[in-house]
Amino acid sequence: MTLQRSSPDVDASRVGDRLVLYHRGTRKALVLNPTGSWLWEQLATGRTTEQLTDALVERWPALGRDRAGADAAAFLDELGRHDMLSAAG
Amino acid sequence: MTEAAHGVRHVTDAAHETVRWGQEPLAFELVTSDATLAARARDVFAPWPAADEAALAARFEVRRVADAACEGAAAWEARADDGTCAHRDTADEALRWVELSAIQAFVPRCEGALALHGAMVDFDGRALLVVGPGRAGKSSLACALWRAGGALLTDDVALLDLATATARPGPRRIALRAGSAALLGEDLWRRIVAARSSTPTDEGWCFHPGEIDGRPIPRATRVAAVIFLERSGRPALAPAALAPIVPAGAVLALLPYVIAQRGLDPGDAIRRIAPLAQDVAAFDLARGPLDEMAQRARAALAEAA
Repeated sequence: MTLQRSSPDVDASRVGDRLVLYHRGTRKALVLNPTGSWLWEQLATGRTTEQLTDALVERWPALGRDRAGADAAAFLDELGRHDMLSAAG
Repeated sequence: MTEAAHGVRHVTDAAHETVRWGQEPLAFELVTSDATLAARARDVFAPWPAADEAALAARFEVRRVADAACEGAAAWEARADDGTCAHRDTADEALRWVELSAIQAFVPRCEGALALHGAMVDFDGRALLVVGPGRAGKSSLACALWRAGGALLTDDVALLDLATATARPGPRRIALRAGSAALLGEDLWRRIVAARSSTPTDEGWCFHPGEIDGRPIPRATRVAAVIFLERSGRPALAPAALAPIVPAGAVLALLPYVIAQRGLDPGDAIRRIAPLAQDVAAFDLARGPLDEMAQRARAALAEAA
């Protein structure tokens, strides 16, 4: 399982309950919804998709593991497409 | 000799007059040997007296060049101290070049404030900032809000002090296209055309709203709401409908309207706008009948805390 972490090239600014991400290299920006903002904070130290799924289920048990797994994977995929992640090794 | 005229300081010596104006914390100077042009410049720059301690951002010289070797048949030469130069047929056109060049010199040096491209209308110390792409209708909405009793501060550049969420207009007249005459009504348009500092442009007129409605430009106003016209990616809305935007969305939506300043990259702009977006309500306003749009914009102002 690959550990994913937030890219050091990304600045995150909190605005209310959301984060605005800005990649200094690509100069792209993204707004994360409140759940995405919480997930982003989990990525500071590096997480696998499994670990992120566990964290989601722990915080929102009603979500269910299947749905949480799909959401975590989709979230990481979206961030990866915007070069907002780096492999943590 | 130093004397005050309309609040704008000017200095004369035997051959030249210097007209000084500005916007905190900077000043500009225009030097000319033409007394008529100096008088005109004092009218044009009257609303922006420069503080004595203001640092000089740019200096301009304007002179008649009818007999000088000059490209085309231009009768006036305007030259800035950065070496840029323009030739214009009339003194008013030369002054417009100076006015625009002053804004261009001003914005990059305006540290501590963020310059945004947009219109701003004040209602009793609370301002609506209207932003949107070219031809989205910023000036039309600003005119409608002016007619509705607001003070029209700018249709071009607003300077935001992010620490206090206050804003000031850039030191430049309002420029309206001739089509705005229909929005403002014949009587108001006639007064604009007849006002002392008004100047015709290729597309319409530029003028000081304060000369028409008698209201001075406030030193600062509090930005209470931002209205986005034609925001990219906004949801479908009914004509003239108003819809709130989450603050983080407003940060990204404002970025295209931030005017480049020295050392300011988009990441810095996001960090600087973020606290403002948190405090200031933002709304999408869909195109619709102008009076309805103005009414909704005022509702947004009322709704904003």
